[in-house]
Amino acid sequence: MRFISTQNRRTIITLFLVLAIISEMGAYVALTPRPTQQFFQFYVLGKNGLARDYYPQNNPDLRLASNISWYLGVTNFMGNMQLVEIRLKLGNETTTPPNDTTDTPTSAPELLAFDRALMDNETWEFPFVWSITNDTTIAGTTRILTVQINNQTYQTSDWSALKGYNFRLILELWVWQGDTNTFEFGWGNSAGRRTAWLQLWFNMSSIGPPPP
Amino acid sequence: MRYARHYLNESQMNVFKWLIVTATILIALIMITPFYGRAQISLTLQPGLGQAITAVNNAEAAGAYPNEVIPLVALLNRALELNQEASTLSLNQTGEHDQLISGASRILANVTNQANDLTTKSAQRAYSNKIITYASGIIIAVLGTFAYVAIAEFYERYRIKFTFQMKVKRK
Repeated sequence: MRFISTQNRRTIITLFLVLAIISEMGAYVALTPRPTQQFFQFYVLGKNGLARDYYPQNNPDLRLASNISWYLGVTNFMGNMQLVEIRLKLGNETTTPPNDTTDTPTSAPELLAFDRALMDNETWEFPFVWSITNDTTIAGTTRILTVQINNQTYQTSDWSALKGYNFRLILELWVWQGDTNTFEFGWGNSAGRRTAWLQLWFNMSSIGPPPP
Repeated sequence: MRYARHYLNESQMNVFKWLIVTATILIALIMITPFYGRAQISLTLQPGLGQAITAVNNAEAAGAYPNEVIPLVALLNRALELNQEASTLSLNQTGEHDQLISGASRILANVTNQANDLTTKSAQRAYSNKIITYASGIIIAVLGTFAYVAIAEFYERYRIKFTFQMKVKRK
C-alpha cells in the first residue's frame, strides 16, 4: 500500500496499540463485577402488609386468643445465596436487647426459628399469625404459658411481666457461616460486622377475647 | 373341635383396666402436648448443609447464572422443610423422624453434586467468555487500524487527484 510505504509506520503501530489498550480496558470493565454494598433487609409489617396496624385497633393491650397478623420479611443483598434464620425470642421490660455495638444477641429465651435459603436479591416474606392462648397471673405477675403461632401451639417458659406490662417479642436475623457450619447473629461485609433485629412491645390482659 | 374359653379373674381384670387407662392417658398427653423449643437444624444435617451451601456459593462465584442456581436453592429449602417437619415430631416417632432426616441428607448430597457439576460448567463457560471478550478487543483494535489506514489512503488519493486537477492562474 502506498500509504504504508509513504507514511510513518509508527503511526499505525501507535494507533493499533492505543485502540487495543482502550478496547481491552473496556473488556476488563465488562468482565469485572462491580463492588456492591452487602446487607440484609429485615422487616415486620402489620396485617395489611404496611408498617402500621400491628395490633387490633392499634391497641397493644392484648387479650387471650386475640389474633395478631404480621408479615415477616428478609431480603438478601449479599451478592450470593445465603441461608438465613429468624429467631423469635420472648422478652419483658428487664430483658437486655441485642447489642449492635458488640454484635451480641439477646439472652432472652428462644421460642422458635424459621430457616430459609435465599438467592441474591430475593425477598422472603411470610405471614406470622399469633395469639396468646393461655396465661396466668400470680401475685401481680402475668405469665404467658402458651402461644399459638401459625396454627401451632408452643409452650413458653419463664415469660412473665409485672402486671402484664411490657412484654416483648424480639426477632433476630441469624446467618449461616460456612467456616463454622453454624448460624451466627448478623453478617460480615467489607465494612465489618452488621446485625439486624426487631422488637415489638405489648401488654397482656387476662380478660377473654373482645366481642366481635 | 372345642375351644377352651379363658376368662380373666378379678385381679387380672384390674391390671388390664389400669393398663388401658395409662395407655389412653399417655396417648392423650402426647397428642395434646404443645411444642416446646425451636426447630433446630439437625446435627446430622449440619455438615451436609454446610457442604451444600459452600458448593452453591462456589457455583455462583464461578459464574453460574441465577436461573441455574434457583433449582438448587429450591432443593435446599426442601431439605430445610423436611428438617422442620422432623423437628415437630414427638419422641415416639423416631422412625418417621429418621426417615425425614435421611431424606433431607439425600437432598443435600444431591445439591452438593449438582452444584459441583455446575461449578465446573460455569468455570469453563466463564473462561471461554473471558477469552472471547479479550480477543474481541484485539479484533476491534485491528479493524480500527485497518479502517484508519483505508481512510487515510482514500484521503491521500483524493488529495493527489485534487492537486493535479488544479489550474494555475496568473495574478
